[in-house]
Amino acid sequence: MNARDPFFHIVDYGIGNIASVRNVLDRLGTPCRVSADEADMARAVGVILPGVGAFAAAMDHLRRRGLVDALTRHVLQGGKPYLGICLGMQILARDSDEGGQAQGLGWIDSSVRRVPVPDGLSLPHVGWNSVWFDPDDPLFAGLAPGAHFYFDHSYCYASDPPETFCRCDYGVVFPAAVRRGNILGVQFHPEKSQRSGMKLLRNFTNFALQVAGAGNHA
Amino acid sequence: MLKKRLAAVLVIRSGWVVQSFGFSRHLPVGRPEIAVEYLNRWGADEIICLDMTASPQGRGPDFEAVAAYARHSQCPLTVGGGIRDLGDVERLIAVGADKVAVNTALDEGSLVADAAGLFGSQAVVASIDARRVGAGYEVFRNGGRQPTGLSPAQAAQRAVAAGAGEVLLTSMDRDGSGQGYDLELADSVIQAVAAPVLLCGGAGEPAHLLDGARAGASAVCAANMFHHCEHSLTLAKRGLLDLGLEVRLETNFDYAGVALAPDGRLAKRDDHELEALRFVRVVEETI
Repeated sequence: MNARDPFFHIVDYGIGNIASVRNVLDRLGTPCRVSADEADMARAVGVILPGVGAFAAAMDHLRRRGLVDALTRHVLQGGKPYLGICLGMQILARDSDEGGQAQGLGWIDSSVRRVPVPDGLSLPHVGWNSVWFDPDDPLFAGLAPGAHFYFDHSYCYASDPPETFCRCDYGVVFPAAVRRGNILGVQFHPEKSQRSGMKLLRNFTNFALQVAGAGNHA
Repeated sequence: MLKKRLAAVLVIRSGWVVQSFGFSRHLPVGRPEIAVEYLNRWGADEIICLDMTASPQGRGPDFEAVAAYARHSQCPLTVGGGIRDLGDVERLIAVGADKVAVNTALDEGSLVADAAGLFGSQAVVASIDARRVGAGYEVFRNGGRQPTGLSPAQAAQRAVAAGAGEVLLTSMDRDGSGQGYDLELADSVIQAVAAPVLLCGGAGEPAHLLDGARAGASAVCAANMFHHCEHSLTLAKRGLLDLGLEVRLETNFDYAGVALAPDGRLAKRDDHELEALRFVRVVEETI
């Protein structure tokens, strides 16, 4: 990778599965750097934050590495495109009741709670499920509503904030993706969702490159 | 809603994917990296790679080999064979496995509980091989060599109670037979645990896969069945859809409207159609 090529920062905060995300970006021919360095975040055209596991532990890891401040500076204030995957979407919320009340970034006005599945369905919600979205939505360009993605989670957004633009049904309908301008979050795992996932990641990287090209990022 | 999964199992012997027949005869197929790459392109919902010689040889997993083929998977990957302790589990996850399948070491100390505690139950699969013994079934470990005295239901219940999130149940009798799953065996485990059960051993055509799904399996698996032709797994999904089972089929070649033979292979098309196909331009999808 040429030192001047635009690249994406995959945030490694000790809790995410970064190998799979990196593999897909490699496959797409998109340069990326995996680290916990704010310097990488500052220079990247976009930020991807993966994550599986506990909300409180994730926030703790991010805080201890100074990444909450870095994300606030570059993503929230600086307008840098961000894609949070699974836990990376959940931490955008105010808080989660997983293991006691834990504080999130608070960039989306919702709480996170255990998926309220009806009797007969068990958690975690794991496997391939359909998601529903506006056919013209740019993050899903090239995909039709009802496309399948791989899910693996027991918690979800407790309410339907106005930033919700994609939903999933697992006995109960819950937000599967949120967008607040440059800040995106998906509850599913595009890096484990073959073709659908690759298209979504391509759409995200295209969006970030477009923003960078227009000189709209910090 | 959540769909039933069609998973490809790759039995690996000394670094090569093999076809397995009755847990006793094996034929070479090819490199795991290539199999994983193509099964992904053809739309596998999940891929399960099992190192069949690790435990019999008294060694742990081949981590380098796993790292090499894991790179080719963009769907969930389960890796099993030779897992001895928590360290093996951690290393497998670190090199790219999403889930680990524990077989020989299933009752070893607190391995299942520790692994589930660290990575979550959904990352731990209890792999149970069983065959008919007398009027019932018995579980065998170590590549099917070592009797355990346990019924599949007992083994499954113990593993799930310890924290395993799924049960991969393989029929040793039906292995490689292409005669369909052992549904009586399947039922004994599906009724015994609430956790998802993945069936393996004997599937030869879409109707067998359908039977497994209707019996209550969350995932139906096949190994040899996918080795014979290009797009084998895609054709199996088309076969399932034609039989009325809702499965995910999202490859850009999906064989919609194409005639399939009962065994799941493409039916021969009319010669005029084939002649016309010579002049059809097919553009490979780029993402």
